[in-house]
Amino acid sequence: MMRIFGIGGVLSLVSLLSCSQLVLMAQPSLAYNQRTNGSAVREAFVEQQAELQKVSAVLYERSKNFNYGVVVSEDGYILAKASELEEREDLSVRIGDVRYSEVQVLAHNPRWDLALLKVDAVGLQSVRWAASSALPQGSWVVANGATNRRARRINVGIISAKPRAVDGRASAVIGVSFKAEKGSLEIELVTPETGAEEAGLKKGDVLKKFAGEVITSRESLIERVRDFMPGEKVALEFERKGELLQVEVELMARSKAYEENKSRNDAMSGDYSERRDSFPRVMQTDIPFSARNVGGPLLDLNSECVGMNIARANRAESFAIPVEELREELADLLEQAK
Amino acid sequence: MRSWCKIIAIAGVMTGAVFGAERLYVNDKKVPESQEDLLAIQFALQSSLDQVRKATICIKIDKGSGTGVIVSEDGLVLTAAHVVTGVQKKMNILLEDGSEYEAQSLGLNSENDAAMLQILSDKKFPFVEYQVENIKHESMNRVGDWVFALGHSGGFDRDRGSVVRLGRLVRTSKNTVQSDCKLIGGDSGGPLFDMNGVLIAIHSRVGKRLGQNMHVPLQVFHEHWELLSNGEFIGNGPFAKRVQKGTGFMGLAVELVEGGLKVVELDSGYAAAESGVLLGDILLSINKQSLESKKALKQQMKQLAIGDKVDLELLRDGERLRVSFNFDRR
Repeated sequence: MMRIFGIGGVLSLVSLLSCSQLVLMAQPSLAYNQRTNGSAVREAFVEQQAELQKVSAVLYERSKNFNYGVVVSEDGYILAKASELEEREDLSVRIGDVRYSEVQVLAHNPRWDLALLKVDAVGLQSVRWAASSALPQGSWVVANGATNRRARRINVGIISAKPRAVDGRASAVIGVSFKAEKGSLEIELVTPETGAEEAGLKKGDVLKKFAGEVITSRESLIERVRDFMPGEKVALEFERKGELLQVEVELMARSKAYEENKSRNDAMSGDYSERRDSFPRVMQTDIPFSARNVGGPLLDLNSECVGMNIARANRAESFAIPVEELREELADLLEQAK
Repeated sequence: MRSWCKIIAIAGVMTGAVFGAERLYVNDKKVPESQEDLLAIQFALQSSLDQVRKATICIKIDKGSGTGVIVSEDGLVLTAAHVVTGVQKKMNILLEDGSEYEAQSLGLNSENDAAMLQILSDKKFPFVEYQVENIKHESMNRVGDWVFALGHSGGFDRDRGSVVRLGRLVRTSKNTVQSDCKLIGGDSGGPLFDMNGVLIAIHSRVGKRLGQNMHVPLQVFHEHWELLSNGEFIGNGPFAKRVQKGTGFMGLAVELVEGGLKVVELDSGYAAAESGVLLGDILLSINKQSLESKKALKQQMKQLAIGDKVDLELLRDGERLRVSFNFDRR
């Protein structure tokens, strides 16, 4: 859906903050370790932390941890956030104290932004699936925070809104723009470093078919592209010098292909996941993730997995794939990987 | 005036029934120490969430949106001054179920980001109870207390509903409360509740850090309740700007002729020229006030502010025409 953004400039609000803080400085303030995600509060979640230590996988590119995964079997299958794996080199995974440097990426699901990984392991502990994701709003949930070699920190919050689909901003693109003439499907510009460039599309090519369907207008093309997700490969037919040619193009996230101006709320948010919309259904939490801390399990107070943290959307909103859909997609990915 | 009576009535109850509600015991611990303590926080929040959410509304104004909370059955709403931006302004509000009503801003405090508005309907609305002396009173809210925020983050989303966030009071002062409930644009004007579901503050602004979420305590509303409910503009910013009257500009000069004022100069690029006024036109009236002298025009201009609508009636080649535009900035 179309989103309406708030009122007033961020910058003015941020700068105003400094004056209000002067007033507030005189007052005693709550010690950092006692704040909602402070270390002293986190101690009450010792059981959930112990569980996360075992059932979350830390994903590394060389020596840098960039995301988490969910351990879903004793023999090393892991669910991860697919878009965070793109262009990663020298992948490795740490589960508990053990580092696995051989990581296979077995299957993808662009719609849910899921990937199935496999490491060569035995005797791991899989997440314990909760029977349902239907926790009432206001219920505590626990997820991964920062990590070091030994210990996984936790990040706590509550279920904060209704589960629902999150529409995208027509997020997949081919990476071409057309001639200005109305209705023309003749390519004017191929955006560098997109699937279109990689597939060899050139200025002057005229698009004829997209994913097997005849394209007659830009509108019909936009409609068709909307059915696909970034990362999906699509057959394109085009005309070049009177000749019909075919290529396969990998669609790309709009935000990645084009530098987009940040909205006011994004400027306020600091760190958020690159892929954070176009999910068929998500649960929402107020867990203050950084983008690199998503991908792991979302636990309830029984330490059971109610979902997988799939995106940091903004300063106030984080999304998770509900356990029901997660298990269905996992079965599908395991099937694909056979 | 009716609203003013109400607050006194409620204040009377406050010391009794409302604040007789048990203070959540976990508030008196430095941190929750067990699963039991965590569940007590969760239970307290969930016990009032559905009720207070019904009173939390989305405010649609100009091209943006904010949040507000209904505090009386007849639709009195508390929100932030920077959401309504001015007094006596028309806007629309949405309840959680998507039903929409017209509303009008009453007064605002531009120094502390407090504002009131009235929903224009005879319907009985769901509302929340509030407290006004949250800072001073021993038994009331203190630094470290658990609180929760509601708001239409990023605008109204019917499938998602309003968004709830849990946190603690980080600092309190007379005019500002800080919590670690993470807010974002669209939440402005929304309610902050204590663990008894009592309204304690209104969301105002954030800093760069996640723990910097600033709210206006109810005390600020209470101090000027009567002025606010009577539609007064209090203070000189920074959260709202007074509308300066008499600063508008049409971009034309006139001379008195028989029957009206003849346009003898016209600045291209300004409202009058842009909307089709021509040199030689004779202005007959502005906003239905006839123009029999240059002074009459000046008097009318003084009543108008930048952005106000101007209706001109004029005579061109013996024909009467109407032209409308908004007052320009000079």
